[in-house]
Amino acid sequence: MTPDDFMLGLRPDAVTEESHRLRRERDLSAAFASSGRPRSLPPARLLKIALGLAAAAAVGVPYVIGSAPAAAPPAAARNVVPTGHGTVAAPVETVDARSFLLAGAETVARTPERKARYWFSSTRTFDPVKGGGVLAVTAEAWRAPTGGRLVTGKDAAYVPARPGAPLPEEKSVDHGPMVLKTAIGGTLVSDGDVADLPGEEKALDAWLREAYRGAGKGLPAEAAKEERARSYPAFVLGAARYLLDSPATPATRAAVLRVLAAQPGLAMKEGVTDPAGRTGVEIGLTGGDTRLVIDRTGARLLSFAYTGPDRAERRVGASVRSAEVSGREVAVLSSGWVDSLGARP
Amino acid sequence: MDHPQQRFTELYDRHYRNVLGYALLRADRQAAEDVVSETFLITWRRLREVPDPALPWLLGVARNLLRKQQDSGLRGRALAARLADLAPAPEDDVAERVARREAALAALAELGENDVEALVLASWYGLAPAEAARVAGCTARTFNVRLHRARRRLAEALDHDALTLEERR
Repeated sequence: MTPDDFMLGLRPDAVTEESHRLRRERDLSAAFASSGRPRSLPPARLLKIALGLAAAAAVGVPYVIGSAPAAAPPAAARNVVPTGHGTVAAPVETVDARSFLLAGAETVARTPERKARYWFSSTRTFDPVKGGGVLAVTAEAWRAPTGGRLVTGKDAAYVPARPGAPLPEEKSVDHGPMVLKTAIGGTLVSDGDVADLPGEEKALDAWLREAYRGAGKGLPAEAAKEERARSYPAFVLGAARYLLDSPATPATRAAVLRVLAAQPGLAMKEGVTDPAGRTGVEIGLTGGDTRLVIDRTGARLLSFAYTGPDRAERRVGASVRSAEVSGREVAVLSSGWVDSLGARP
Repeated sequence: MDHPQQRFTELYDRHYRNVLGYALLRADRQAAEDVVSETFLITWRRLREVPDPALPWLLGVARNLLRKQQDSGLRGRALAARLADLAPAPEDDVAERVARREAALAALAELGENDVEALVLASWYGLAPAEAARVAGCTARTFNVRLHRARRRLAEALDHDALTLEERR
């Protein structure tokens, strides 16, 4: 017997095997639930993530707060086949914006509530570039209250192609586990919170008004102040931009459409083609700077567009107030619940 | 592997037993398990710093935590005695093997703890000298000296015991 053989015989395999079995679940849960998270993301990177998600998830308010794990991106430029919430409904015989939105709310409300571990969302952002055309970039997010994943910078491409032109991001980035909180007015909403929002129109309207008036702290306070300078209908439209592509329940999404339908000054245009090539109905406010494109059933957000002034990104700590780009369009390529990271609906 | 949670889970499943085995040399089971849990919490927070291979890094983290422990529950106990406790001989083992084991454990007890640790790192985990040296907090040369010395003395004890048994026959 060699010394090493003898030593190997002393290795406490029975004890370690038993311990692994007994401690595994607790240790993994403790790690994933810990307030500490992989410190792999230096602040600048974290902020960039938040910005990416803002663009990807169509955050209706000016910024998101990144606090732990998240996700991201896309497809060929303007030719993508979207998937949705699994809603199958007939196109609405449109009369006006209000009727269209209320019909969509009915459809969404009938959608069976399904919940899995992650809310997946794939979005492609189209930013205008000098000289014409757009720069398209996709982001994919797997969002969960305990942490998800964010992949940004996928499939970046100029449309039309610009051979030799450098891309802002040469390759996609998989940001480690992170949890994102989004500011709606003065209220921070986590992916867990959003699932608990009211599912009834009046209650949601009250919640939105409170958020509209809310002060918040830091960047949220700054943004909330600017939100208050806008009209409440404009605020609701911005919130809808976020909530309609979020882990909110069907009841909450239906309530969002109903609250939006109740706003004065709605404008509607049918037969609009979104940047992903899909036909839908455009909803906006007369003279407003944000427009939503909703599918013809009224139940699903296809994309949104922003035409207001450019606004530079602002960063404070782990918070980012995302930039607004005039002429930006963001298409929700697909979204829905999935059971595992990396899975798509 | 493209996701931190997945990577972390695989690291945990692959190395938990090894890290615990190492911690058990310097702490009782409860304390050792707590050290391993803390080791993996740190691993989770610093996941992108974890190199490949990960085991030397994990053992190094555990070692640092063990050194900070004020009460391991094992103060004053020799590493050799700890090893004997962790892997007791079968009750029905034959006398020859029992005698050899006792002789080898006695030889281990005569070694310094650093030398025993060198044997453990090499034999239990198959670490290369440079990797093991990082865990042990010494140079590869120092580690090799410790390992060579420990192997020689243990081999002598095992050989001597074998010779003694032969002479008895």
